[in-house]
Amino acid sequence: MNETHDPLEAELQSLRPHAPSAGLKDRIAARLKDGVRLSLADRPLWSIAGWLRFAKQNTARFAIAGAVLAAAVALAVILPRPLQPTQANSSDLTAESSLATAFDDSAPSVWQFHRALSHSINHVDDLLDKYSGATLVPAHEQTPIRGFGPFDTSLSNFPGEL
Amino acid sequence: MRFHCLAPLLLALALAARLSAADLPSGSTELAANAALQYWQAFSQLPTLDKDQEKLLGEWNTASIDDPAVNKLLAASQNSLMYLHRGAPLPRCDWGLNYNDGISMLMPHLAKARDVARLATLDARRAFEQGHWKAGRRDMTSIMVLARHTGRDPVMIALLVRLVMEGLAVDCVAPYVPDLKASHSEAVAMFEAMPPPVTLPQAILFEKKWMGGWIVPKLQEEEKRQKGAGLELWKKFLDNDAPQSLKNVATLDEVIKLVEDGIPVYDDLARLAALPNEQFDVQYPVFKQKTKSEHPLAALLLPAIDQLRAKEQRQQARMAMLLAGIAVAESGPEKLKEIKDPFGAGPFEYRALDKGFELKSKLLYEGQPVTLAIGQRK
Repeated sequence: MNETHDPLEAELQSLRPHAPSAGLKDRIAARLKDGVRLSLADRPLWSIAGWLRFAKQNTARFAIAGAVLAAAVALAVILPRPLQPTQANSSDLTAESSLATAFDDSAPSVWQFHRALSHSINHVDDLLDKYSGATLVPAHEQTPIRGFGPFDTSLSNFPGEL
Repeated sequence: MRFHCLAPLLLALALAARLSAADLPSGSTELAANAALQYWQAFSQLPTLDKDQEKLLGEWNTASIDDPAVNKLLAASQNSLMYLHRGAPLPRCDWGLNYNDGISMLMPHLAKARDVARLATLDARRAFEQGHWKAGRRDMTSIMVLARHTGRDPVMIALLVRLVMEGLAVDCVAPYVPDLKASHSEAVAMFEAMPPPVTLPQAILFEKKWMGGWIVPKLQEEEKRQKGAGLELWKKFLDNDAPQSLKNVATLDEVIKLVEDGIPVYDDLARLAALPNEQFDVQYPVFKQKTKSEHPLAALLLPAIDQLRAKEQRQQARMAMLLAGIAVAESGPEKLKEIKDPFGAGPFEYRALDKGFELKSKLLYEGQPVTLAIGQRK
C-alpha cells in the first residue's frame, strides 16, 4: 500500500455494505424451512435413511457414475495387453543344455567344432557348410513376414523357419 | 450435464488411455542396440540355396557378374544384407551364449555369419565391377565388423571363423584398391575403430576356464546322478584317434586326475602363443612333444595351436598389406617406406605387376612368404 494518501483508496474505505432487504431475509428463511441441501460433512450418510434420501435426490448422478465405472472396467478387460515375461517353470522347458548335444554330430556345439578342427584346421569352410543349411527349408516354403502386410488368417504357410 | 458429472467419465477414459499407452512396447529400447539381434534377422532372411547357388557362392570371386544367376541370388539376399548393414554400426554385440554349457555350448551363428559374409562379398564385388564404390565399401565395412562381432566370444572356433571372414574381405577388396580412391589415413582410422579382435592367448585361457574347467564338475555331476555315468561320459570324449593310454583309464578318479593334471597346459600354451615367432618356433615343438607324452588329454582337448597361430598371423599380415596397398594407390610406392611390415624389420617388399602390384611380407606361412596382389582383377 502506498504511504501517500490515495483519494481512490479513501473512497473505497468509506464504502459500507447495505443491510439485507426484508425480501431477501424472507426468501432465505423459506429455503431453510424446506430443507436446504447440507454440506457433505453434515449429511447423515451413515444412516440407511440418509443414504436413501441422498440417492433419491441424486439418481441421475448415481446412474452416470455407475456407467462410468462399468465402462472403465470393460476397457481394462477389453484393451489388449502386451505379453508379460513369465517366469519359466523348470518343468515346462529344458533350460539345461543336454550333454547329448555336445556329442551330436549334427549340432554346432563347441565340442563338434573342436573335434573337427583337431583333425584339420584347414577345412573351416567345409565345417561351416555342414552347419549352415541344416535348418533351412526350401525357398518356396518360406513365407516373408512383414509387420504391416495383409493378415493371413489361416497361417497355413508359416513354417517358423529360422 | 454439469462438468462435475462428466469429470469421472473423462478421468476414467484418460486413465484407460494412459494405461494402454504405457503398456505398449516402445519402438526402441536399449536392448535393440545389440548387433546380434540385427544379424539374426539377417540370418533368418538368408535365401535357401540350391546346389548351383551354393556353388556360385563358393565361387564368389570368379563368378561372372553378368550371370543372371548372380543377380537372382543377390536379389533374394537384399533383406538379409539390409539387416547386416543395420547390425554392423552398432557398437555392442552379444550372441547370448551361455558359457556354462561348456563343450555343449551351441554356436549356430558362426556358419550363418559366414554365409551372410559370403553373400555380402558377392554383392560388393558386383558393386565394384559396376563402379558403385560407395556401396561396395559399405559391404566391405559391414563384413569386417561382422567378422569382429562373430569372433567376440573368445572361443577358438569363433576366432578361426573371424579369420575366414576377414580373409574374404581382403580378397574382395584387394583387386579394386587402385580404383577405390580410398584415403589411407581414413582406412587406417576405420580399421582401428572396429571392435578389437580376440587374441589366441585370450581364447586359450578362456577355454581353460569354460571348457577344461567344465569337465571335472560335469563328470562328478553325472556320477552323482547315476553311478558309472561319469565314466560313461568320459568314454564319449574319446574317438578312435584318442591315445590308448586314455582309453585304458578304468576309474573316474583316474580320469579326474588326468584332467586336473592337464589344466596347467592351457597356461603354458597361452604363454607360448604370445611369444615372438623366433622364440615360439624353437619352444613350441619341444613343448608339444613333451605334452603329448606327459599329458595325452591336452592333445585331445586342444587343437593345433601352431596352425591356428599361423593363420592368425597370416591374416594380420594380409590386412596390414591391404592398408599399405591403399597407401601405395594413393601416394605411390615411396609411401611404403613409412609403413612397417609387422613381421619384419622394414617395409613390405613391392613388386609391380601387369595390372597393379604385389606386396610381400617377411612372414612365412607354410614355408612361403605371405603376399597380397593389389589391383589384379580376375
